[in-house]
Amino acid sequence: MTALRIDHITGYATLQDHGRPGFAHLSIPPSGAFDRAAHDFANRLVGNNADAATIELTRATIQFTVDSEAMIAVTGAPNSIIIDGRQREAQRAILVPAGTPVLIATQHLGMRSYLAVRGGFDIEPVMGSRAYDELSRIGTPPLEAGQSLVIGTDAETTPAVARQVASGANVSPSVTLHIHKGPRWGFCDNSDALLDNDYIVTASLNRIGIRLSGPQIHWNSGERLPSEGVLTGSIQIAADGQPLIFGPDHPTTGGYPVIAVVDERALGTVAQLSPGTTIRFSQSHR
Amino acid sequence: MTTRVLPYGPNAALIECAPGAAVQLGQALIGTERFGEVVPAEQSVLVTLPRGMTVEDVRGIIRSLPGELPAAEGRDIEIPVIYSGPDLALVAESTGLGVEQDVALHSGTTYFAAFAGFAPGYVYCTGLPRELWLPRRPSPRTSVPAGSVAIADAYTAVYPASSPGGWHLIGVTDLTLFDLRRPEPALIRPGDRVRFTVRTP
Repeated sequence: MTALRIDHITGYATLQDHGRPGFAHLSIPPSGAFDRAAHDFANRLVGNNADAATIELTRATIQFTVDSEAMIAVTGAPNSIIIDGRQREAQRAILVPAGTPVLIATQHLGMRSYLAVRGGFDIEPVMGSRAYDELSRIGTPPLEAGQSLVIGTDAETTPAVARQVASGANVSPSVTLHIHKGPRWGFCDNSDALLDNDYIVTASLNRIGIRLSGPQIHWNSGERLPSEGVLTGSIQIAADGQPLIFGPDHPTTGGYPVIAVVDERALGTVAQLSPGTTIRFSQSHR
Repeated sequence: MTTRVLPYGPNAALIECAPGAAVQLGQALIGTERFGEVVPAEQSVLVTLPRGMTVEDVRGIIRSLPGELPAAEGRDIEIPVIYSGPDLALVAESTGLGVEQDVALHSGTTYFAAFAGFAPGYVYCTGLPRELWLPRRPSPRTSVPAGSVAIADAYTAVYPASSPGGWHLIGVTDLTLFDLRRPEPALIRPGDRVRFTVRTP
């Protein structure tokens, strides 16, 4: 039984996989890796099933040790990876000897990186998933120093060693997000403001949602909107006129108008939005 | 059944329906096994679409449902409450009826568990007597204790876990609303009939 022991950790790190979709009617969010492509890529590099759990590092710095040789990969937002005094490359499989500390340090670009270990983690799933859901507090709580995680047997394929596949984590300070007009586009007087202006990512962001700041968008009546279902990538206008983009741990219903929906291919970019990033929204015609 | 189906990006659709009809419609849509998520809410059901399904297909599926949907499936749930919430006095003042009358109204009604939301196990129950309809608190509490029985607008609900909350707290129950160790984690499910009974501390 191989284990990964966390020696030190600063910042927020949780186990994530493909989440627990299908329970929204019981008000359980889908959860799961925010940057799905980066999570899947990390798993592919070490030959895991795509749904194997990885560690989602949110601008976190972690040092860990494995008690027997293990294969790891780190993807998503950039990190400095140091093993035995040597700088190692992200986006590829790395063999880690037993007992040698591995340091993965955030470079404060983008928001989320993924650490996969060949075999995944042997954690009892809750409602079909090992993901930690920040809203419901379902799953293994955020990781802490001193904790040991047993490495599992979720590996299946031969690792994709050294195959350079662009991971595409977009950590640019200015991004374009493709959106579709949402069901309540007409509930606000000036929804066009979303397309005509830049919006800035505020420091108020987590896996539940990301608050933006920019020109106010006004509801066109004082009428309360009945609560409606929301999805990851829904953009709602809060009472203060500012947009909020929902993440994977979003509440399943909300009482503010959803004026737009982020195109699903752009959700990886949403996962990497960091405070201060400038967003230009562009209407998708897909 | 007259409904409007609105596109919700290319992969989802929002189906509007009459107040109170969302549970039945949601149960019927889950029954078709055609959708990913089915999220009944106050006057709508959100569905996620499998690849290739269009909003027009959704309209077709809705037309194929029986005109009179069967009544929502539900159970009778009884929740003993100690009516001692921190907002009880303020609620009594706002309604002008006094604490005793407010408690009699709240506990003398059978509610309908209309839709889930906000947090696992949190279910918006309709049927709150008109006299108790109050707007939410101007600013939400940062922490509401688990088991708090609350009212706001036309709803009553129980907070399953400690969380922020903007509703008026009128009582508390010691029942566990959501427990993953139970075969059925949620005590109240949409479609259930809910009664609150007065428990003395």
